[in-house]
Amino acid sequence: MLRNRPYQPLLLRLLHGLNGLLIIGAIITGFLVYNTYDGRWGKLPLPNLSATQDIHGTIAVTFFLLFPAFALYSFHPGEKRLLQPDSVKNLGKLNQQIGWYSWHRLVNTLMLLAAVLAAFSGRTMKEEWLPNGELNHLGYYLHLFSWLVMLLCLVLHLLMVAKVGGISLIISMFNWQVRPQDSPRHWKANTLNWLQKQKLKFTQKFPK
Amino acid sequence: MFKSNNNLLKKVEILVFFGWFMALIIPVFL
Repeated sequence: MLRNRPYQPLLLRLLHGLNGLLIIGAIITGFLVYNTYDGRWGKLPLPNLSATQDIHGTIAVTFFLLFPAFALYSFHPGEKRLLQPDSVKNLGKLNQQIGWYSWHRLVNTLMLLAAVLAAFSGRTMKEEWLPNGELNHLGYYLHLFSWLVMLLCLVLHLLMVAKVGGISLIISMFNWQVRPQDSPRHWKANTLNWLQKQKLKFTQKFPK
Repeated sequence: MFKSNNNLLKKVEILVFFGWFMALIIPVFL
């Protein structure tokens, strides 16, 4: 029974956990900032907390700095969890497992793009816009749109994880067990090995 | 494990890192 449980590499669990927490934190504090200063598309009766903009900014900067590590992991060792060459043509096969796996991979890939859109649009904003009531900047509208896309992608990501792997896949992301071959002691050697392979691929592609 | 022939994903990767880099430098131009 134990052998059939899905296992996630430790580095993936760490990077996914950190980035996931920061994304959820940014979505929540982003809504609180909108609720405090804007509210044109609906408002909740919550206390107006001006500090939420600072908290949102801190979460965003932390996410922005950590994101390249997660993206690098996702596109290389974790690439099987992202869009595959046959994913698009398999999207319609919803009566088969491959159809849902393809949707899962598509949503995972879209999450990375949505995260970049959120980071980019957030970086175009100025801190004083919302407290000054300047709500009609293009950067702010783009950031609001990216909030919606991010939320949608997060919901779809959770639904797809539940669909393809069920509760055991969700639990595997929060599991503390580490297999000996997955120990952080091997990370340095694996990274150097990967860099060497990239160098070889580059020299094969662009010979002197 | 690290070998990839997935050209579509390679394009997405370039887009993601280009987007991140643009996000890094955009405040300089605003």
